[in-house]
Amino acid sequence: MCNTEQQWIAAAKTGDKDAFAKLVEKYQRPVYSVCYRMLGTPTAAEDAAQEAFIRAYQALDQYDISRSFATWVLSIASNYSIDQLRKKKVTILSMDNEKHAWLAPPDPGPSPEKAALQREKLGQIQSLLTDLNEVDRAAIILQYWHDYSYEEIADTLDLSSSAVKSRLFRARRLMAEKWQKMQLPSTAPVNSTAKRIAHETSTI
Amino acid sequence: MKHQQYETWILLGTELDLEQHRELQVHLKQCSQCQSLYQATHQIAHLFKTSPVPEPSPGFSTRCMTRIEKVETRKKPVYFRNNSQCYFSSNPAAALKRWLTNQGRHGTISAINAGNDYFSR
Repeated sequence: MCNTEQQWIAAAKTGDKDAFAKLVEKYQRPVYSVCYRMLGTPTAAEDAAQEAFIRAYQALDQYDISRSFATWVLSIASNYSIDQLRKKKVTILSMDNEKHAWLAPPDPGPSPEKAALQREKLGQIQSLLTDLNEVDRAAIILQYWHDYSYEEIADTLDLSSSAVKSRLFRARRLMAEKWQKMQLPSTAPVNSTAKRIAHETSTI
Repeated sequence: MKHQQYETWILLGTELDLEQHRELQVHLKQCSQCQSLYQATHQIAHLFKTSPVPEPSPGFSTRCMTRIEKVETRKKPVYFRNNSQCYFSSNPAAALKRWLTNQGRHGTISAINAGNDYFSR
């Protein structure tokens, strides 16, 4: 943690909202990313990420400055997302347009082919994650996208390291089995989707 | 070594030394089940690592801070000062009732009676 960040945290602890806004600015991407991977839609991710920051702000006096702020705030975001999934308030499978809305920026974005491939990838990822239970999903997300060690995952999700290992083992097996099943029927549609979109755009 | 041990190496992504790596490669050539598992885990890892990173839409931090302001405003306690006591509550209606009740009891302001008079008019 850099000195500047420590100053922001210290100021935020005294109620300085501008200082906390800087922390939000710095950590919005990893927090949003965890929430998106957990919940599967931009709307749910935005809401959960904001809620995580609100909770962090309200609990700042309990934050131990010797601990990484990133780990702490990601822990809040992960646990909030787990709770949301448990309450089944979030519909994982939403309409495709809404699900990947963030992939279509108004400025010059990716080419149609690239966008189609990205959507295909995201669809496959969400499909793999959907079958995992909430805690296993959080562990996988923290390991693959945030490069967390077993100990860091254990700390974030309040589990033992051995529990994290066994959860990751189970989750990876489930994903591998699903991936093997997905490969057989999905090869043709993946290519046909890309080809169809390329064809449609070339005829406009 | 037993088949299960190779599966554990593959599924936990255990860091292997040279000898273990060679041993695993030999096993993969003989065991189609492990080979398929190995390929699947590597393809999934590649898919995850090469996928675009989801980003919040522009203005996230502003929207977030606005929400924090709203939450803070909603939670801000309401104070009613008396000479000797301070009434505070996150529920303004309850705080006002307590304050009015106490004012009536001490007789400094007969707010409750005044209220009754008003309604009995």
